[in-house]
Amino acid sequence: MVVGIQRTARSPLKNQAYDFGVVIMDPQGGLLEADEFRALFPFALHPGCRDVIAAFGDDINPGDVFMHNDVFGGNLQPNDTGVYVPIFVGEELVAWTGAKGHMADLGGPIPSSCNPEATNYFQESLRIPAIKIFDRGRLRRDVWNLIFANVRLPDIDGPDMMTMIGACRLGERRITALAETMGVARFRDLIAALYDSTEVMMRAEIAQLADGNYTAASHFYFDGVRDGKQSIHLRLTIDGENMELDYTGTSSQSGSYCNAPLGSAIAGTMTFLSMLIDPLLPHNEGMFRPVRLVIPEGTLLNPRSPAATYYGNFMSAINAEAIMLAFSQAAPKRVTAGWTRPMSLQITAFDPRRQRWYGDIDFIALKGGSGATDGLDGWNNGPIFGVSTLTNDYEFFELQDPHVLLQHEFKCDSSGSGRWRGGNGAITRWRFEGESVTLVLQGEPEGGFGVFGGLPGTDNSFALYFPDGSSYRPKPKEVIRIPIPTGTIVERHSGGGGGFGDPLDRPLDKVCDDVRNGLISPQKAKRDYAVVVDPDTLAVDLDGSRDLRTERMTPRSG
Amino acid sequence: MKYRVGIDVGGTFTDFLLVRGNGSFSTYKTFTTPQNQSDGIMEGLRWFAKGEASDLREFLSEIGLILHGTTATTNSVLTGSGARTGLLTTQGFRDALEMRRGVKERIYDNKYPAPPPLVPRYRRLPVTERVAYDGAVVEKVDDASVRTACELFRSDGVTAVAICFLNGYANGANEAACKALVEAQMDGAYITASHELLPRVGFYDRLSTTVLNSYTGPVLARYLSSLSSQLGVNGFRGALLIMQSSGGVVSAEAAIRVPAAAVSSGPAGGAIAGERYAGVHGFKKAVTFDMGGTSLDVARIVDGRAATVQVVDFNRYRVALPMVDVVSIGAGGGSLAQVVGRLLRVGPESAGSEPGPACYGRGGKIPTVTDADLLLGYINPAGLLGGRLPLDVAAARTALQRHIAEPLGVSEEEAAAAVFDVINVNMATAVKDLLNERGDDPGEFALVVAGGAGPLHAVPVAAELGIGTVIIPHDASIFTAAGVIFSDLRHDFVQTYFSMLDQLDANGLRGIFAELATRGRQALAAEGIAAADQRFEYSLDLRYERQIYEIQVPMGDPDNASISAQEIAQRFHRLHNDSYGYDLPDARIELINARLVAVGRTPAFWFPQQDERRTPTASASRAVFLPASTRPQQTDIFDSEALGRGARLCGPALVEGPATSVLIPERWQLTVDDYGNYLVRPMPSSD
Repeated sequence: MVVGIQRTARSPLKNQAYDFGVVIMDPQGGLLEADEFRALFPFALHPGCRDVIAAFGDDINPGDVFMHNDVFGGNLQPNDTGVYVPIFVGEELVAWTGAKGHMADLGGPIPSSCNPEATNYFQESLRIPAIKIFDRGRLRRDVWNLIFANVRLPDIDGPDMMTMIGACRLGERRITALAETMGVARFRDLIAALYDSTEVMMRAEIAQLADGNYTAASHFYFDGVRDGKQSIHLRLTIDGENMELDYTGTSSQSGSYCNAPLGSAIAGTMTFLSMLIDPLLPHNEGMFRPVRLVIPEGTLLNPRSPAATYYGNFMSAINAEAIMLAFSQAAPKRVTAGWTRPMSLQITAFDPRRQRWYGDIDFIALKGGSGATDGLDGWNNGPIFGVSTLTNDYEFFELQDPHVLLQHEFKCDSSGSGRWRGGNGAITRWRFEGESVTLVLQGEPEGGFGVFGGLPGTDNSFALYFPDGSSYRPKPKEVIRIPIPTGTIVERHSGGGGGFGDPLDRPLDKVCDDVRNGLISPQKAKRDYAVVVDPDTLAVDLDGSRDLRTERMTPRSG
Repeated sequence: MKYRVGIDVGGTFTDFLLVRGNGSFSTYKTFTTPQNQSDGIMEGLRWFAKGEASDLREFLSEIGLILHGTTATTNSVLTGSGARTGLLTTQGFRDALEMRRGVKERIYDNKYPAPPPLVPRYRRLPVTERVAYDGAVVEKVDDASVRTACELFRSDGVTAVAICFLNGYANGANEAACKALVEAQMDGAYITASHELLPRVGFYDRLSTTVLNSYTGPVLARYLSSLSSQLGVNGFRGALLIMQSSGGVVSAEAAIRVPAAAVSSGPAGGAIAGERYAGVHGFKKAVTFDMGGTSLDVARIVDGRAATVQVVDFNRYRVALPMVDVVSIGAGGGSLAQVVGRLLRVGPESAGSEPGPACYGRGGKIPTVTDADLLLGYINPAGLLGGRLPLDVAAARTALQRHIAEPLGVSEEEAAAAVFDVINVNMATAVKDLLNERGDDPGEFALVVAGGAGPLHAVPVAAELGIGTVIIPHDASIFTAAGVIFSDLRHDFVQTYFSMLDQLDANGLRGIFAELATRGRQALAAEGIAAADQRFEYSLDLRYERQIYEIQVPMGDPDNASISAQEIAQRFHRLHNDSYGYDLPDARIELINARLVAVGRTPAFWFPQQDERRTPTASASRAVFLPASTRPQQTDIFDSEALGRGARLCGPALVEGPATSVLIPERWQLTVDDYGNYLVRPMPSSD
């Protein structure tokens, strides 16, 4: 199913960045099995399926296909549109397959449907509650046309939707064959046994964590409309084989688009929880049973209608930080330091080479340094919490759309220093050859924080350099309204990951390797790590370094 | 020339197949000599010489052809022991190699390290130059930047250089200029320029392949020149051909130029063997099932040919060269069984050769598939290899009891049966995934079996998949060496050629193909292949407008047939539908690459017919827990040596050979073909 989508989709969001997910659900819409290559999505299809079941009840028939993107019915981000295919053996519903992908455009006032100025969902995009687009195998052309008459890129999004339906149908064929071969009753029993077994594994994982109550908070400082601190508060309780994550105290919902709908908040929480337990533990209903989530309504993580929510997926990175900080008290060796927060650029423009409109997300720069963990440096310019997408290939980036890539390289001195250092950020520069460019920037400026004595990484930055020599630095969430002439250069610096542990404990040879590789400067080696390196020969002064380390450590222990 | 020799050097064993001028053959197996693989090879050749009652020099002088599958490049990548390599790339992009397009294969595993780049950052150096997406040279190579880099390379002991520039596929002029400078600056260095190796769009794919080529080049060159000179000193005057990942062989000289094309040399031999064994029985579609101690290799054969893919990740390094379509999963005789949650998990971890299964008595405590097979009665309790490897049934029982039976509350035999079932389902799933991913239906395939543990598990796996024919070669133990002997010479060429299909300039395309064919003809001529034995296969990589992945569409010889865009389009729609379940008849189609495979026939070989016919009689019987039965059943045991051409057996039965046993479940029957191979099929129903 996955291979089908990534190989045949037309939007770079799917064929280059794999910004989609594929999931199998049980007849009640419970999570049975997910493809695990893209964070958030594996935990984000089944809530929408439940919404479909609630809406259609007994009007669900073989050959039907449903569509759904309702953020108040379990969806992630409005553009993340799901399709669901019920699977029957005879008359009996035995399972569902679903696929969800980020649509390049879904209507609304701003191309790409990303509107940082939105104050309610009417100003974002088309809201699609549970609807039927195939009725017993027949396309409902009226419904289909209604949807695609309201999007800007129907030639991209329409075929992509068909690709997703095709993937669900491939899955349907195999599940039908399986359930027929073993019989429906046995198929059900095995699903129940799988859930039970996963529950046992999950309980065993939780039992390994130190019992107690742990509180943590993470913050952001600009919501697209106003400056001002807003917070996610988490109280983690480990009690034997049970766990509770209570978000009471989180700031009330924002008047801007900085709200994570409940589906996005839950998907984020389960994603980061999965990073703190056995990575091979199956992800299905069984893992939810010993976990209680308390996410009060009317807050940033569970906004009421008609909140705007496009930014919600990005807020999972902020949620992740609260989770890591809470778990750093319960399981210090399992957590990572902070990862670079996401900063994304949505592009809609006209391609004069091919005489067509196009939409893209600058995935090349939607990366950053990962946080370090016990035993491992952070990945250089690796995935970001919750948005681990594939970078466009440079040559296809230039071929597919009118862009000229000038630079994409690690940024020296961007990593957070530590016994284990954070990952490095990168510098990305490219030039627009497109026309009528609309850009929407959204994200958080902060790099990753350090833990247990580790230092923070550098921040994200963004600038536009115009052909006339002037430049512009937008706010971190902004629809850029000034004209962007052909030849404008976009320059982005992604932030560094946070360090883990005291930098003075990092072995000398590791520091020297980084200096030799140009990832840290001799100045930083001396400042953060107390390692003296000759800036010309890059030779390390062993005696000098030892003395300097002793000197710096002494006042600390005293 | 009297002889041909196929040699496959694997991780543990080096296998030999000697073919004489009269069509008779001999096999030999010895331990691989990892320090210098040629030692093991020379040992095998000496052994054959003795058997042919001649001395080594005389014997070698009578060998016309040595066909050789080698793990020299494979191992250098797996162990990180390739050449000290430097990379020259377009200024601004020195980190693409390490970034790997931002892929982290395990998104939930915080402790998962990135693979170390084959070239560290300080040896990835920028060259000031620029080529545009359409091939226009925006900026010529700045000589000074190349010289500065070469200075560092020289002082750092670099022996191999990779050159890969952005958009170099569209115009190789800058890379060529750079290469000339490097040749002048770095005496004797192994140099790969991306536009020569792989003139194909996709920077990361081309970059990674180019780097891997330089990284492995000096290793393969050193090994093959040492082997050639050892052979030459001892009288060998024939040709040495090297197995490629693509399933073809090339001369040693050609192999040294493209070592990245040899990383899957071993599995390729297995795929070609599968192709031939299936073909002899009239199967155009088959999968190989090579189950050893730690892993299962599955290769796909379609249209009578080992299928190839154009891009693979080898040990997490991207290689964009044709490779036989093999998947490997952690399933073998040594796969560990354990209870996780309330479910039984078998593999992917393995007990390896040390400590090995509990029944080997070398300290293994956790039960393995082999322990389960033993307890179920499928393996002779007297031991393997005619008793040379004794087995401890009690140890197997204890391990299964402690780790499986007790936690799940079942008997030891039930536990063993569950392990047998789970590993079989895992393996069946691997086969099914491979076939389904490519849009194939397992029911149309034959299963060709190899490896020590394969014949015991193959038939239940076939039953699970709905496969109706299992082929177990008589010489399954030298399966891959046989595949090497069967292989033809093969050279792959690709050239990116953008065009909308409806605006195709047929003469332009014909020109591209003519160029590729000239290169193919030259390569084959250099290997002494006459024009009559040369064959060319043409194909195009096509996709719908705005798609990113191409489908390879075969086409006829453009010199003899007219190029019809319409016909090509129809073929593309059909293939797209077969693979992905839909097509877009109104969408425009883009041409991306032209591909050519040049094939040179090598002399044919097939095993001689056996002449004796014998009626099989059981040599013994013992209590066996047959699949899906809960009680032991007295089952006939047949000695494999006693089964001749035409013999027929009905399950349940076991056939025991020195290295392996064949399990024939109830309602299946085994027949021996004219060449001594076993065919296992469901019994015709009695009604």
